Amino acid sequence: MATSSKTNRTSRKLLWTLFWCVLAFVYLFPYTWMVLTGFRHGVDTISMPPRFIFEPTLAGFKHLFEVTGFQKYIINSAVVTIVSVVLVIGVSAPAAYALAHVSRRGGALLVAILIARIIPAIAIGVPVYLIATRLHQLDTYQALVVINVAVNIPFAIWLMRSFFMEVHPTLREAAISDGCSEWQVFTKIMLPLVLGGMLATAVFVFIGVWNEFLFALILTTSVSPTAPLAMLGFRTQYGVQWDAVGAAAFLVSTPVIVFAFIMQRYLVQGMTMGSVK
Amino acid sequence: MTISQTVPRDGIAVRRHRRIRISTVVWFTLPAAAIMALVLGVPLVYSFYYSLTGWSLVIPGSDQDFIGLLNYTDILRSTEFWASIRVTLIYAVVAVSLECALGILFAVLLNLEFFGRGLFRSLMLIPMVITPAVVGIFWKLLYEQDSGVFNYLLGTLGFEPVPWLSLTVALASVIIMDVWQSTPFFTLIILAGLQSLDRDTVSAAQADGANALQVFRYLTLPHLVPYIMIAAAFRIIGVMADFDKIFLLTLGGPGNVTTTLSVYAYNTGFKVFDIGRTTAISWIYVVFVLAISAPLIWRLFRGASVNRH
Amino acid sequence: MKRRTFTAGLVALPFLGSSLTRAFAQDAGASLPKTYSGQKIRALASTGAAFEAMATVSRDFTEATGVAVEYVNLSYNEQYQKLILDLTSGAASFDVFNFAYQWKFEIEPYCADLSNIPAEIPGAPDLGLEDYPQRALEIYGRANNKLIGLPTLGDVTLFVWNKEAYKAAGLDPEAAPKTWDEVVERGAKLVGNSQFGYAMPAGKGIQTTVTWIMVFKSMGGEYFDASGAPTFGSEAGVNTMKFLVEKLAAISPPGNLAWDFPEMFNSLSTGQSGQSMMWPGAFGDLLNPQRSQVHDKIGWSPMPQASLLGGWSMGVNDSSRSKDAAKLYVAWLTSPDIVRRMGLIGGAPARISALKDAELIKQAPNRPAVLAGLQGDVAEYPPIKEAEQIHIMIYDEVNAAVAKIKTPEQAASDLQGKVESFMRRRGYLKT
Repeated sequence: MATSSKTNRTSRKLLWTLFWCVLAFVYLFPYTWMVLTGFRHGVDTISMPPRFIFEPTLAGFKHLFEVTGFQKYIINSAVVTIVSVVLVIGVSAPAAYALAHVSRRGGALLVAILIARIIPAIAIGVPVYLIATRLHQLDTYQALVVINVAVNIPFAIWLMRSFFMEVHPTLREAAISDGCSEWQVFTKIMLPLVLGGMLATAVFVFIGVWNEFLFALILTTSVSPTAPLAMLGFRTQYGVQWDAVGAAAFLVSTPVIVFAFIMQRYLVQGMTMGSVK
Repeated sequence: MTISQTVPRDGIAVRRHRRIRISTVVWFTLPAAAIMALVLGVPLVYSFYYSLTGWSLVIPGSDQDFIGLLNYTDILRSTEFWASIRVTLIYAVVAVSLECALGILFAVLLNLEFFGRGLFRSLMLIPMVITPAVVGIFWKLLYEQDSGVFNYLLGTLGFEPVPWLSLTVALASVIIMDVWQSTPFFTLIILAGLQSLDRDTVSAAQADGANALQVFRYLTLPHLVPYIMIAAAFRIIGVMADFDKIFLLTLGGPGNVTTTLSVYAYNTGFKVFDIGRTTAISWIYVVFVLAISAPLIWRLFRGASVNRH
Repeated sequence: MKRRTFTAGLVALPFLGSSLTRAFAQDAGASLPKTYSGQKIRALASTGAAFEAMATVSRDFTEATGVAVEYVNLSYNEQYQKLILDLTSGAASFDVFNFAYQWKFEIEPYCADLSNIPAEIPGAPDLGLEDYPQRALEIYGRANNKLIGLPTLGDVTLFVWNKEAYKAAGLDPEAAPKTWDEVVERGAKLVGNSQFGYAMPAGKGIQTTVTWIMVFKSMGGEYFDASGAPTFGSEAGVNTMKFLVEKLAAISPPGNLAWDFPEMFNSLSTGQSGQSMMWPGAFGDLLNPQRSQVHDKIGWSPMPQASLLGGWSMGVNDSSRSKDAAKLYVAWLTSPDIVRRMGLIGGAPARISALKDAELIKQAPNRPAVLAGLQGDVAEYPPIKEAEQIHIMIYDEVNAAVAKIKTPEQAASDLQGKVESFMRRRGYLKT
């Protein structure tokens, strides 16, 4: 009996695995197509009828590094994004925790935070540009980091707040009675509990900053431009450089996917520590 | 430091520590609030001021040209503005609903037991990760009526080619593209929510005889509601701001069928350097988005805090 | 030992001398001044082979003068926005910049005058202005009587066709059409078997405006009348709309309501459309087997009846902190030898001497057609400040008409109304 239920379970797992293989393949088809573009010549990408068999080439990648100097853009993107993510989480987690304990009185602040998130970039694009110019901060890393951090804090606070709200208040009460300070409660008890949620938030912020375009265009020139600027540049006035775009898109999305993969394991671990009853 | 059992040792002491102090809240939120106030607040004030001028970058001196609410009235009287509001509404409601439904479905399916679960979880997040502008560029190719891959595949399956970017279908095509890219957003948040669902409660319910569907409907779904609300609220905000991928896919056309508010703002404002107009549209936009997402926010608020436990 | 080396050296001298002279003659850089050594010039350019060529040759400038040149390449719309932001704010992030001539009235107040460079900058190469097609030079570089740009990319619309498709339809593969009606006639014969007659862009993008302008001009249309009032809705304007909707769109692939240049190019290069307008800048890709399925089947000629001038010039930021070095750079970059060298690695020269150069013609056989186009009676974009607004109006109306949202007559009259109210609002309308 035990053996047959175990085989049942395994065969069910296999069935679901097969299901997911098919679903993932279908769902990710556009992505696969995009990655393929980076590995073949432009003529194969646009050909009619579509070619599924082709001669692979690394010309796109060559163009990326030799002509466009893409490595500079990637490094800039990496620096700006990593620093921004760390700062956003670092600043938003305490705020989210504190705001998880308020509903009505702190409500105004929460709404203000929400409004900050709604503001479209083009509304403040030119003022930000002018301020940055006056402060001589054009084309610097710090300018990009500062604006990206400010723009992403609202979402980070709101999202992490919902994770902090999962934790039963008695945990905190007990710790306080035991003599902990609020900060100690926060760092030693709360943070480990919501680690998964924090990492999920980090992924979102990472994606947001990594793909941010408007401020990168406005604030950078030659020292600190980020990857999205280069990628949009492959759509030249005389046509799209498909092999370069595909190669760039592949390179730009891979680190984030890896980050997401690493993160999602913590998602399970962190969250199942769960609320203590 | 051990976490002692949560049996109140001293009733009075617990009550004293029950509510978090205001000063703590202030200190904890100060850095975030300060950054936002400084970095966003100052440009915001400027931007509101500019919206009251007729400032165009290519007309020197026009930033002194104070015209009051003329920009606003101009925009509110323009039929194209209202058309873009309509398009944005349809886009937002349909896209977010589909993303929400699919997101929950995928999250639940990704929560089952099977081999390579971790791998599939991260694979299914991929579309969300791609730069939206690049998504627009590639889907343009895929959607090409005569020579695009989608119609080719449809043809091999025996279907008629779809005029994806035509007057009638273009908005649907934009929505499909967005659903593809943004469902993972919901999937991830719901997945996080699912993880925080207490296993013991679920086992207890199952021991009491509840089947999978009942567990889902009476336990899982209610637990997920705050997560769904957050995801929906922020996704609506995100959908409003969507620009690159729509613009690169359809340029806002054919006609105005895919001209959302952000495309409208770009075309009539930023693209032609009319800063007065751009900022005015943006402020109207803020009001509009707030109006749309207000009900959701309200629901999120009602009694929602740690103290609801 | 020493004496033998000395004699050997003496003997070698003439050879050395002649090779040096040859080097001097070829490389204008040898005579460039080192006065500005240590400065840095930041250049804004668009993306694509022609602009990449500029960055490549600029290394020689750095070597010869000690001035570093840093290129920032952005796509068309983004470049325009960045340029205007930079110029109007006085931030001077860029010392030199490429600009499309249709922007020249917006940027003119912020550009340095380039006409006196040889006098102002000792050691600067002569501008050689007579080596440009004169009408093109006027359009490219002169705004309000100031020379604000020197041409760097010479572009004029060319008509291309698929020779194989022509043959299959019974048309002479070597004969170019002389009128737009002929284009439509031939196109009708090409339609069939998932092939179409013309790759017409009808999306809300600049290429749609280009198409409208070419047809408008061929119908005798003028942008403005003698008093400066717009005549976009004149009889020529109405006929243009009707032609585009009823004749040209009819032989074009469906689904072109979102088309801009990349889709036009794709349509032609995959053989989907048998005829098209093409910018010379795209010929590199068109004739490249790795980018195009029709690389060996292309015929080209100047556009029937009216060609539109495209193209880019390079200007100097009047607020630049390295203005003299920047002026020197621009003069150097547009000097005949450098232009020729850029042409060989993907550039699109505007100089007559370069377009007639045998090696360049061998490398890109469409150069004579480009030269003929540039020297002919080319049309230009509406010569008015903020012309971009008018371009937007044109493509909006064409798109609406082709999508059958309104009749061609309605579209023409709406276009006229929009242009009029725009000009009135901005004060460009005299009356």
